[in-house]
Amino acid sequence: MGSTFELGARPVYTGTHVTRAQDDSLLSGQGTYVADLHRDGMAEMAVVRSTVAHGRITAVRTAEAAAVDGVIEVITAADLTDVSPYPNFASAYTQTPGTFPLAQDKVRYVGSPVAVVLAEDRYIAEDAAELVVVDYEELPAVISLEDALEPDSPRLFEDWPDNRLLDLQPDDSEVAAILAGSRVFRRRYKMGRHTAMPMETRACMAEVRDDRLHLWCTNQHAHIARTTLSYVLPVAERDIRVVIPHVGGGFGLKQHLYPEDVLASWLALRHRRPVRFVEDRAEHMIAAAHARDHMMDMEAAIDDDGRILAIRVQVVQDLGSAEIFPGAWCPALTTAAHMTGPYDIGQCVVSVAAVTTNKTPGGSYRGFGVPEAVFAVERFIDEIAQEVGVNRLDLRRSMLLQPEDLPYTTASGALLDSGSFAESFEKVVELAEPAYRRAEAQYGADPQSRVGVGYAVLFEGVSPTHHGASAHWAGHESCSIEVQPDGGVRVASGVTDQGQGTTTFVATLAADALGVPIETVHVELADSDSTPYGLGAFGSRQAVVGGGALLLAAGEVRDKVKKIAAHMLEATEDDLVIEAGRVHVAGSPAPAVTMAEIATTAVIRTIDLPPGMEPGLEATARYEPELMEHVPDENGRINPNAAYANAAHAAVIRVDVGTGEIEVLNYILAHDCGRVINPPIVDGQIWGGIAQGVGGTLYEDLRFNDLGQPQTAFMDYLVPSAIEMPEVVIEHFESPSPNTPLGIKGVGEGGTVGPAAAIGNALAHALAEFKPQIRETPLSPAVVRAMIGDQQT
Amino acid sequence: MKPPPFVYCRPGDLAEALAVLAEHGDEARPLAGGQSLVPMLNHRLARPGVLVDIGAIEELQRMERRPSDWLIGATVTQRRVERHRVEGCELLRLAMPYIGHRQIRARGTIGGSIAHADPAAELPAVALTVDATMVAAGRDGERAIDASSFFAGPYMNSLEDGEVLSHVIFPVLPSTTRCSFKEFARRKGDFAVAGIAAAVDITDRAVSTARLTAFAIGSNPVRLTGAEEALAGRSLDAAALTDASEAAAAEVEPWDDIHGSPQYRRQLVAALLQRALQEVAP
Repeated sequence: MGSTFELGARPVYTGTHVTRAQDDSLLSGQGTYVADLHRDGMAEMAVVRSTVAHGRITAVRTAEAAAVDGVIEVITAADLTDVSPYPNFASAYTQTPGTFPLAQDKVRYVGSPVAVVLAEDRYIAEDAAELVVVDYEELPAVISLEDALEPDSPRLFEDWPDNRLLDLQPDDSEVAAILAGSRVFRRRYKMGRHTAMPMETRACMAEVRDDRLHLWCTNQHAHIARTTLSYVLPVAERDIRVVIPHVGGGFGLKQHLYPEDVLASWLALRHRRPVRFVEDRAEHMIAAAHARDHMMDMEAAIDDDGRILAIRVQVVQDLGSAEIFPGAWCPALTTAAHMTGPYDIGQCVVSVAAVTTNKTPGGSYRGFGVPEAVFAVERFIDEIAQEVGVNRLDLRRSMLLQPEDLPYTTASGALLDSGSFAESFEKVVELAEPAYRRAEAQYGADPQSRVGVGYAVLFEGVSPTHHGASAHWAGHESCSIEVQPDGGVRVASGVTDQGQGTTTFVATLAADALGVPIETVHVELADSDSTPYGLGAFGSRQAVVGGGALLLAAGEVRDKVKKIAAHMLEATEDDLVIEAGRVHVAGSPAPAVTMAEIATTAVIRTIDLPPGMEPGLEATARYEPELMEHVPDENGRINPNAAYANAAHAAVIRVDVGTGEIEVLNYILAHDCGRVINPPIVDGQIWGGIAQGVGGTLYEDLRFNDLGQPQTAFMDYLVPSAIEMPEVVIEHFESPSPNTPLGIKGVGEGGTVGPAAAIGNALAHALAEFKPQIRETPLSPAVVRAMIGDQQT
Repeated sequence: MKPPPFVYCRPGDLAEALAVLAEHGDEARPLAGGQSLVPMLNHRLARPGVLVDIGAIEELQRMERRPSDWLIGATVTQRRVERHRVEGCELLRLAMPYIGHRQIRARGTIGGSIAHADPAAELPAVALTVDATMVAAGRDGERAIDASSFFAGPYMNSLEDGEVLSHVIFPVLPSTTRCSFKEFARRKGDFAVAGIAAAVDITDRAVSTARLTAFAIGSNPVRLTGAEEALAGRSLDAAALTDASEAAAAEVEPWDDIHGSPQYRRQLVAALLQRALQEVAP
């Protein structure tokens, strides 16, 4: 491969601060989101949602609602006779929740869609939705993960033997033997339930034009959404177009095709008029996928110095009712794959269970199982160090992968081909220790304050296969490049942009790979009619695989540009360079031909092409990383990612012992995502990731009471604001992967995965005198205050 | 999150507003800054048939320093009070920055917040601490209501149907009174998890009167009479602070919510009172 992934001879944009393509329009209110779409005759949906956590539907009374002036129709599951449940491609190893857009016989979470009111506007739709009466025979609800594991627990799906949707128990005899002969250390860790809170909620608008269904939606994948719609609706895939307009943040939550996307499409087809659904924030809290909610039981064989010889883990993920995301259990597998951390722990075996409960279905959220693993592993190491009486930094140093260990294959099969595990850790220690000492100097005399510093070191699989979650799609991305007669470039890619800068990196790489000014590049994403089939945004993948497909296509175009230019200049192709939209012989800027002249020749004046050359100046390429594996081997080992990023995090905190409040004073992070395309975008990704990590650790908590009623309204769902954000220092390491295009790794999730561990460890350090047990998140002030007890004040 | 249908009117004077309110009885609700009522409408937690926007009524926007008090009209915005500094009403001034965010204070009103009687709100706690007087206007004239009897439960006040809160009278405290306002919220600008308002009169280094209020821990703000008594006649030394904090923690009966158990709120009350008293100690 090698040369095919090259940038042009003189890259001028890659690695520099190229201003984000949409900043002007998005920041000045000129963006077009789904809620900005208006059509003549557009109707709006309101969804009637279950008010009970678990119940059998005995009647849905819609007559009164249907009679409201302005109501077009009220539908229930019984109306959806031509809708198919989402097929379960993983049925060989999972149970099937039978995902369907409206509850059929039972409801399994508060918020579950039961009926839909279609009306002239959303006001009328909500007025009428109140009049729909649903009768339930209530059933006992399963609320906690522990309850779901009980053999006599009520079952959400009565034809399953228990509530385990997934239950993988690998052969652990080798690790068991080591554990049996060693000192064993055990801990249980849990990460609470939280999720993404994008500024724009979920939304879709479906319309029928020229007998085709057009769905404008906030989904993160145009093509997967199109294909999935064709599976569940009686519409051929060729007759579906999915377009994703501007999106106000996805974070994984918008990865899924939601019931409302199917319902709006179905209603648009039925009534032949545009139908829009814009989720409100109250709905978002209960009906957009939740995340995390993991328990990790860890057992390690350790030596006298605390070094881990072998590790056995049971990961249990609480899926809620699992009725939204068919691969809802995949975060637990991802957790399992990160259970050794970036340490040389040769023996690790992880069993994974994913259980259903009567809560909002689980989905994907930035980090996707990695924050859980990092929290458990890094807290575990700190606790081992304390137990054995060794320095927590030295214990890490004794196990961290060193440059000479690379490439290294982890116990689960992940191929760490490059990275800066030890170096990034030492950099963070070097910066965090003085910050901690400053905090001590500032607060040491205050009897109401304690300060502490905590660390986390991690690797993170990026650009994963989609097969893990879907058992269907794999891992490729695609790109088409067309040079138009005036020399302008149209790049169409299967990647999508939720505001993170995807459009900008596509334009950047295209401009450099083709040697043209970035202003002459037009990027087209997220329209299934005009972009080649790609898998879109998930798993920090787009720069890696989207970049790879782009560079392959650009290489083909570049070769043809040179052939035509060589003919026009009567020169040898190998002597030519392309820069700033001109082609000339290296070392002599004139004579030159412009991209416009070459493209005009290729597309219009084709009589001037070299003899026998096919007209046109365009290429479509697809890239699937060669070393990425999609299915585990017979021992359960798999390398499911194209690359592995790494980072070290440190948090310096102050704890108010009177209120239990944690203030993160400094957050220091050294990250390594291989080659950086756009430094400010990388920093922005890390900043935002830290905010979400801090949020999940200290503030955000989706709670349910014993009846399964959600307890967290948006008012109580505490997304950190700028005021709650610490001072952040970001250090960069660049260890290019030898196995990815340009050595790029992903960075989309890197900031999110470490804060729970770093802050948890800092809290243990700060409160050492109180011997706190820090094994769960979130670490709310009430939880922290209880650790302090009445020994102080 | 769309409100059910309602009729909206915006009378130009108080008499007209009172007439509309009287006409529609409990179907009508006055709308001031809308910072609480509008979200409640959108959540369909309140469904008045008629909204009477009192924002255009000039006589409700008065703000006057009188010899021994401040008269503040019901629709005077919180931001206006904050910017004005209300000399002599130190506790009111200290409380203002805790009310939501600046954008909220720019719309939120003094009377709206007090009439709304949110258990976690700052202004009811200030009113209770300084013995403010709420003046209700009705078709039969004005009626003064003491802070101690105005708040009638969570989100409940003792205004009668057809009455509107027209203004609030905050007494100017003697120069020997020192004030402190302490609030613990999860994020800056959030509803309080617990809070303390303190106005302590100190003469000859000893406490002559302590007025201490805890809020956000139950239905309405409560005066901490046990703690007040524990301080009477004492200097604010460490022992007095501890006694007062312990008395406060023992006398409150906090409620439970997602942010804290009764036990945690007791700890907060003790810690915040301790800090408030440290601040007022000479």
